[in-house]
Amino acid sequence: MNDAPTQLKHTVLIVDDEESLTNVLARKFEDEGITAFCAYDGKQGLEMALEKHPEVILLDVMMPEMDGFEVLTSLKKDDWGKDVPVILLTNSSSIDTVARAVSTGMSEFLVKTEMKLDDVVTHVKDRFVTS
Amino acid sequence: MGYHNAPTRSLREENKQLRTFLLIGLAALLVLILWVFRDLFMLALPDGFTLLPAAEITPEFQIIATVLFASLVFGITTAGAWVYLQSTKPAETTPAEVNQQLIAELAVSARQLQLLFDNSPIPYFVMDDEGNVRNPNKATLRFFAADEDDVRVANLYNRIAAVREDFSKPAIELLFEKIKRGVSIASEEVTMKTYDGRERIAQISIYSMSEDSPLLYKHLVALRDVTEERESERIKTDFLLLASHQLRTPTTAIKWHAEYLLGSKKIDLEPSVAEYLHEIHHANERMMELVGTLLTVSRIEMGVLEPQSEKIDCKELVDDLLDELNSSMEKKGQVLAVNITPNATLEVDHTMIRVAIHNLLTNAIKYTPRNGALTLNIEQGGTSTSITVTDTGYGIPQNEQSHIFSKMYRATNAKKISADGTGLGLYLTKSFVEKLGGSIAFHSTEGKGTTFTITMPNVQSV
Repeated sequence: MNDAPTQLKHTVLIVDDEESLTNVLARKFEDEGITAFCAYDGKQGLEMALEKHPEVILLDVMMPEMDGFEVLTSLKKDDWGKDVPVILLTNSSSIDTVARAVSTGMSEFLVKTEMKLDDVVTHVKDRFVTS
Repeated sequence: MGYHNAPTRSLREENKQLRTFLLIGLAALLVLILWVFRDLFMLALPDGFTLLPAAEITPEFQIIATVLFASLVFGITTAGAWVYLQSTKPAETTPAEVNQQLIAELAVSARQLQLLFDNSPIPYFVMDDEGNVRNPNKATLRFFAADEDDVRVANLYNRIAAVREDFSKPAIELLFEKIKRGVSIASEEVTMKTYDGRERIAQISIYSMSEDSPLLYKHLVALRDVTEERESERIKTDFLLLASHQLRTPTTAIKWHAEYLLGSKKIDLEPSVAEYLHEIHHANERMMELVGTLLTVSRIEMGVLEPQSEKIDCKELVDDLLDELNSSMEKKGQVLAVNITPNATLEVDHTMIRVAIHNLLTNAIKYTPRNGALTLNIEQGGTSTSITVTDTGYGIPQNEQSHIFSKMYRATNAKKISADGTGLGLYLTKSFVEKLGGSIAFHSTEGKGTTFTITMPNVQSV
């Protein structure tokens, strides 16, 4: 297990209603010495984000009740929230999702089905401000 | 139609003639017999019986008597035959009566046709150039949910004018245009609102009489209600789309879990365990590819796949494809010769053209034996660009060539070469190429090889 004190560890928040995917991602992050918080719906995700202030947020688009875009909009209204790096996750590369992502100013989104586990982790690591 | 039921006039004539000749022949025979056996005949008379004193029976008298007698016999027989014929033959008709008879027969046929038309399960009606309707049959009234005397059925122009989304003008105009162009049966699929407010999808066919026909209502219209057909197609595609989409999550889960186990520095895997995990991962990758293909196919079927054009440099596209496919070719010792017109560019959807060419190349690699030669040519002419993929492989059997672009079709020799293969590759290629406005053709000889050619029209810049 990692011996580094908690405040020196990077943090990431994963918001996705697919538990199996969320859990294996979190496990991988932990193995790499990154603290991972998990939320399984939009509302929970927003609450956790505002509470824990993670360095990077992995945000799934398709979620019941409050989807990724709604969470994003709410985050933008927050002083801290508007600056946090958010990476959108989606299952499909459909045009509508891309269009919406672009319109909300999000330049980065990942298609889960096309990504390797390592690649997701790498993308997040790239967004950490400090190494 | 009625003519087939009774023997024709000429047939009756023939019978009569035949009978007459027979009778004449019989009579002649009788005369002959009488003449030959005239003495015997005389002997047959009772003794002592004489019509005339013997002395007056001279040879001349005998001749006259025989002839008279024969004539009598002949006359009686003919009279009898005539009477017989008269009784069996229907009354002789005058020209006026003949006409009446014809009219009666026509009326029967017309009535028969009218009944067929009226009770046909297919909606039929006749229409003039303005859409005015005559004789809507029962099926037409049922289709429109109208009563027999519903005046709204009198003009269906606006009903048939109901527009499909991709029509720039009313369907009826398109139909009339086709007719003007000389198409004998013009056909279109349209959506129509019936009088009970429902929307039905119908296939309309119009058969038109020629311009010089004196009829005002020149167009015979038939409708085929295809609403249920389209609905079940839509349900099937919807289901496929939903199922494929839902499959993405569990397959991603398998992928990431296998990758986690294989990539974890904390877990010490036995080589055999690692090998099995690799197999799971690999099989899952193939499944993900299939699901992706199924999704694309259902999107094409639903017509929601819209191409996004962009300018593509052909050389770059080919380089990108080769990056991916070089290792498969090397494994089989195959060599690909590439010829591209310098500075050739295409203005089409990048993903679609890439998938189309990718499928042709993977097929070429798959169905060509080791060390085979492959060629990829991109030739850009003035008006069109042709993309050709040639292989020296197993070829496509002659009798299966017409099916290869069908969904799920795999040729029998292909199945023998590789159990792998969805049968969707060529279907997708063709769908994409045609969606982009191009066409695809091939020729193949079993045992020698196959050449596929995609022809894309060049976008003419102003």
